[in-house]
Amino acid sequence: MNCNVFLFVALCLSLVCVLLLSIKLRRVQESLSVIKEALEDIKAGNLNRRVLAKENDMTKQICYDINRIATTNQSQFIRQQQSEQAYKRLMTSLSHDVKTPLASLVGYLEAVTENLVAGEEKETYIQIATEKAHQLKEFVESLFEWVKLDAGEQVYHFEQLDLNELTRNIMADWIPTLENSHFEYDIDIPENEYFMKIDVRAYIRILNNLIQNILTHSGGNKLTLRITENESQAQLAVTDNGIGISPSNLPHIFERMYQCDDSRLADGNGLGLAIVKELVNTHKGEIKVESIPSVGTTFIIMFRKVL
Amino acid sequence: MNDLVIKTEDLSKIYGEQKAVKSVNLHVKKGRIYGLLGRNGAGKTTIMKMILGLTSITSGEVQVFGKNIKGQEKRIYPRIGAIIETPGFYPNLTGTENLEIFAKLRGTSRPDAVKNALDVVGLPYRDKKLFSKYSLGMKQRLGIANAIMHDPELLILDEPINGLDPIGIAEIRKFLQDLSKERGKTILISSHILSEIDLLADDIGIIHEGNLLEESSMDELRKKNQKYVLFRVSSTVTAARILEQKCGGVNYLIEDDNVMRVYDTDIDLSRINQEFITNNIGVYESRVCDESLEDYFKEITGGVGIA
Repeated sequence: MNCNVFLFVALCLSLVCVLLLSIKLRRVQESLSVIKEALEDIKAGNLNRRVLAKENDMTKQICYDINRIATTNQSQFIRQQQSEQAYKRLMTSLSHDVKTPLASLVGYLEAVTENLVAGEEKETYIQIATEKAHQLKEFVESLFEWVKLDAGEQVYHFEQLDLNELTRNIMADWIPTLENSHFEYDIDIPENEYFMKIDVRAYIRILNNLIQNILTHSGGNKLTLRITENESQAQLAVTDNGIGISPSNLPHIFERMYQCDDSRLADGNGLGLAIVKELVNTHKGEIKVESIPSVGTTFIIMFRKVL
Repeated sequence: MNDLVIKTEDLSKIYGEQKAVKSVNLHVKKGRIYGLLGRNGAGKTTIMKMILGLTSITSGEVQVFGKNIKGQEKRIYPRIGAIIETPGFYPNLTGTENLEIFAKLRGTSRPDAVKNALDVVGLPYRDKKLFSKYSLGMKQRLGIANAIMHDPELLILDEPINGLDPIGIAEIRKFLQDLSKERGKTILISSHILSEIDLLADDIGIIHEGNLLEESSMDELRKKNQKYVLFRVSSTVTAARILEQKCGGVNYLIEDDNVMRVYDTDIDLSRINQEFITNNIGVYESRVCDESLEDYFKEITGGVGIA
């Protein structure tokens, strides 16, 4: 009797167990089919697909892991896509930026070869054409430089050098040009020695590009260069009193091929500041720009004393 | 793989006598931000509701992720995040508690989903503040947090910047752009503010009185609406030279041997034409293109305009 009751209860319990387990099994099966579908989607290339898991799902951890993998792959994929797009944009603007000056160069030369002009005018045309050819040459050179930098093929030689002395020497070379362009200058470099790791060529390039940029684009007539230093870092500030850069242009000026609309015609190729930024990066430095329209622009570079 | 995330075919909605949406064929492409622009009451919200199954479809069809949503709701809707009108949150719970409820109902894609979603929109995690005490901007942010919490592939946002201050608008805009560009999400967003869509969207659909008047990429539209003078001439090479000499300092671009664009629209067109002709350049076309986006919308909506 007792035995029967016991058996009956055991039977009931096991039936309940079977029922519960089959419900559970059903749920796991369902989530497995959701996972399977999502995996197929991901396999087909939809890295945005996520598998959602409820609090008590047995497959929760699997879902989260799948999502993690998809997210990581997705961001890699997007980074790759972005660099491809940037490359495409570069090619388009490149073709324009070479085509336009080249066309006008050909225009002048044709006028000369077809004898449309004579005498002094002819000389002028040849001179203009030569200038344009030089500009193109410079553009192509900086483009190569940029591509090399961008591809990480540039080789650097970092040496322990006195930043103050080096800067003074570079500025000394600039003074005749500044005077010829009717630029006032105010150069403030500390007297003491300040040794840090510098790649000479890169540093010269940084300063040259910044100053050239001010000469061609700022429209001002005064340049200020100031170096301030402490134990851990040196700050270089280059300021002009020109037209300034509008807030809408400011965030983009370090992008390659970016030129403010109004400066497209002026000599320049939209690579100078992009190169500066890249070179500052290789010194593990930082570059900032501050500008107030019609008051002037300041470029500030922070260099770390120890790389 | 199918590149369209949302596709509607002759989607229509009739409320009683009134046709709210008339045969709309929407094409939302993967990984892009699609802006639905129209005045209040143009039918934007109704379209979004039909896509989300929140209101019945009178006729036509909606495909999401390449599948007809009918009968697939359970599989499709977890992959979408949406805000339609004011999101329904419990006023007597905190933001975190509200999100935890939704997380439980819907399932999550990662263990720290609630905290992550709040971080992303800049709301504090486990804050004591009740939803009823939230400002309009905070409510809107919580709505967005809820929409993105399960890391959906597609976001459908109905006027998400309503009630935000200018800084908040800029933040949300940046955030949506990052979602699309950095994480490959597809976003369908509606707005009655042209400038907002202009800043945000990659593609645009213009809804007017229930009709989809135009669907195009913003790049295309902008190209159409750039301000420039287009010249089609026998030789751009010679034309460039003349242009430089006669109106020194103009900003121009050579497209090919015959087409060039001059970006100063206030140049004296008749004088340039004359100069070209005296220098034996055939001028086949010279046209000022300076229609603004607003003008364009006024034109296609038959004078009423958008917003």
